[in-house]
Amino acid sequence: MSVTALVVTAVLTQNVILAQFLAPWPFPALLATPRRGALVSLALTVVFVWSATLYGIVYRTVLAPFGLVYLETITLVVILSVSLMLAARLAVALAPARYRLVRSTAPVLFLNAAVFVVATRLPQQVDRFAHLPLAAAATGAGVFLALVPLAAIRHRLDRARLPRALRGDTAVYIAVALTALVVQRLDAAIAALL
Amino acid sequence: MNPVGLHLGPRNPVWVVPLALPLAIFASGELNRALLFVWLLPAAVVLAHAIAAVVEPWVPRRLRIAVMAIVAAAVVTVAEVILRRTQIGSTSETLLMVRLIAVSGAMVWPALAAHSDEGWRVRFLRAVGVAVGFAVGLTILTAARLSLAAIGLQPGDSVAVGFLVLAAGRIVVFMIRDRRRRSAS
Repeated sequence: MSVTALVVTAVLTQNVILAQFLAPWPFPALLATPRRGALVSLALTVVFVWSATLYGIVYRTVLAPFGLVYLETITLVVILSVSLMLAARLAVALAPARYRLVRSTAPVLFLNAAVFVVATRLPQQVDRFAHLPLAAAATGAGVFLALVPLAAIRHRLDRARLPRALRGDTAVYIAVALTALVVQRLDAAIAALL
Repeated sequence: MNPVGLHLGPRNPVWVVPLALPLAIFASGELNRALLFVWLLPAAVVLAHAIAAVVEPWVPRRLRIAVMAIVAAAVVTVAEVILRRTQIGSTSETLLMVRLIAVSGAMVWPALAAHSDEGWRVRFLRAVGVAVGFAVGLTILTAARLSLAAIGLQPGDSVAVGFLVLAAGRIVVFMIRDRRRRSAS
């Protein structure tokens, strides 16, 4: 797969949030404001690149050659757990005042469906190892493109004079449902063009 | 309210506090997938937290989330191997979703929400509550989506309709809660 095709696939057609709906938990809370959506996307991009690269090395040197692919869940979770502890240590060293914030958000960033799928799928999909971090970063860009507009829609709906029952998480679900319909139509249009 | 009752209703992990949204949306789109996840996720969550309760006293407190995640991954790996051997849920997409149980909020949150002085019983009850709440929430979500598909709304099993059904459910939960508050005051 060429680099351009790899990036377009990761950002648009296989978008982790809009096409595959592998939203990190707690999804609605991550979309409280566009700023939070942007920060979470950037942090997730770093985690994608880190975990996909580390897992890619283990997958290509140990799991695939020795026929141990059935151990990929536990291998990846060990990598993510060790990374989580390292991130907490780093936070203590670099910004002790923010330690509590890091301690509560780091598990959400490292242990979620999007990171798991990106880290396990990319080493199998990408032919050249050098392209792996690029594909992971492109997936992060796709998350940014999904989370920030969804957060903006939520923010706007929260400020609109909607009935109270429609505000908050309900607005997020409606926004995601409408975006899903748009992506579904886009997918169909792209498939027809191809 | 005890943790089980709390997660069955006011903090249901499917309808109110979405802890496993991708799994709930995926599983509720088809009856066979729902039948698999309605028992597999609760069983994996309860078993992983039971094992973690035994292991955790032997490890430093700061490593508890990591230990919990590794135990969950071990449980899910065993479940995946059994599913592969028995040919249950053998499509690659279903098996990928089974793997995601290990990192879902339903698995991690009961440990993440634990206070430092909390006993293992409280946390275990919270895990049981999340597991039972997920099973009940997923059953209702599946019934709603499949009913919509059965009455002729073709994309009833699509992701978009899944989210719309969840939104409608949240509105109903909000209305019930609002009515209770008014009657109490």
